Amino acid sequence: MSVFQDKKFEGLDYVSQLIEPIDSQLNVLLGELPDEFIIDAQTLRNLLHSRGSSYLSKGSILNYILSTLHLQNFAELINSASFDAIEKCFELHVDDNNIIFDFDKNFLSQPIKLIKVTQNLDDKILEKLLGQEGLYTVYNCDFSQYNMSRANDIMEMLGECESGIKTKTYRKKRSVVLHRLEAIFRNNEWKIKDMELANKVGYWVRSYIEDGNIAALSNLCRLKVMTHTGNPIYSMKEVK
Amino acid sequence: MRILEELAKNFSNSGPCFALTVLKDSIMLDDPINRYIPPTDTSDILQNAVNAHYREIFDFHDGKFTYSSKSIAESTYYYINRDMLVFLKAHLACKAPTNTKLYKYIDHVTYDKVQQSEPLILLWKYIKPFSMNDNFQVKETNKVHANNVIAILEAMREKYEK
Repeated sequence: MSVFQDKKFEGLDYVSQLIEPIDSQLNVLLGELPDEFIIDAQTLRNLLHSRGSSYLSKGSILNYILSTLHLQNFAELINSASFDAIEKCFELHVDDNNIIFDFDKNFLSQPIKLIKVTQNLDDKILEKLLGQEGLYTVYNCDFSQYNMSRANDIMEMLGECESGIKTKTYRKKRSVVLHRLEAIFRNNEWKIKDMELANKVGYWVRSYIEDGNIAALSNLCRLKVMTHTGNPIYSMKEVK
Repeated sequence: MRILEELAKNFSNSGPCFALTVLKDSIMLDDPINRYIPPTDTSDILQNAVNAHYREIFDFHDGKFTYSSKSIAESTYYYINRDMLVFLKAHLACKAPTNTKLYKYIDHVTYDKVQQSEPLILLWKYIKPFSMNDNFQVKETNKVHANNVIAILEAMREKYEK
C-alpha cells in the first residue's frame, strides 16, 4: 500500500465519491442520543440543584442528560463548538405553557420534553467544525524562542507564511501559523473530508513545535503531498 | 439582640412553588406563586422599614426559601443612615451641610458600630413621623423636635469622635 493511499475514499461508492460528504463521528454520536428525553419533576429538581440557579440553558440540560446516559466517549470526543452544533439539534417543548413546579411536593404539572429536531448534522455545519478542535490546541501551543526553527518548518510546510518565517518574534510566528491554519480550514483548501483527520492537523502542529515530534511532522508532510492530487482526503496512513 | 435584627427574625417565607417559563432553549423559574411580602403599613415605623427590606433567597439544595435577619437589618440600617443624612441636609443651619463635621460623622457610622448605630436608629424612629416629604421637611411647630435630634447627634459625635 502506498503511503499516500486514501483507503477510506477508495472504499466509498461511486455516488459518495461524487458528492464528497464529510465524514464525522458527530453524526454517529447524535444518533446515539434519544429522540426524546422527558424531564420530570425529579430530573428538574436535580438539574436545579446541580446548577444552583433558577435558569437552565438547553446546553446544561443536555450535559446533564449525557451524564445520566453515561455517554463518556461523547464528552471526550467533542469540543465546545461541536457540542454547540449538537445542542442546536434539540429543542425544549411543553404541551401547555401554564406549567407549575412545586419543590416541596416534587410535583411538575406536566413533563417537559427535550426533542431531537435534527437527526443529522448537515455538511454545511460540519464544514465549519473541520479542524476546529485541532486549532484550539494550537492556540495553547508554546511558541517560544526555543522552538522558533520548528515553527519555521511548519510555516514552510503550510505555505503562504513568508512574513512569519522572516520575523524574529515568536508571538508574530504564532499569529501567522494560527491565521494560516484558520484560512486552510475556513476555505477547506486541503479538501479534508474527515472530521477526525482534520482535527489531527492542529495536534500534529503543536506536537512538532513543542516537542519536536518527527512523526507528527512526517504526517503533516504526507498530508500536504496528498493535497496535490486534488482529491478529497478521507484518511491517510499515520506514523506514530 | 440588636433592634433591627429582633424585628427581622419572625418572617415567614414564600412557598417553593413556581411558575415556569419554558422556551425552545431554556427553562426559567419565575417568581413563586405564593410570594410572601411582609406588610409595610403597620403602626410601627421601624417594623415597616424592616419589612420593606425583606429579601429571601431560594436554596436549591434544600428546596426552600430562606432569609438572613442580619442582612435585612444591615440593608434597613443603610436606608436609615441615608435618610438621617437627608434630615441633616434639611435642618443644619448652614450653607453647605454636607461639609459639616456632624454630616461626615453620621456618614461614617456603620452598622457594626453598635454604640452609635443603635441610638441613630432610635433617633430616626423618633423624627421620621414628623417628616412631611422625601426631603425630610417638617412643620414649623415640629422644628423643636428636629433641633432636639441634632443636639443629641452632636453630643454623640463629641463623645465618639475622639
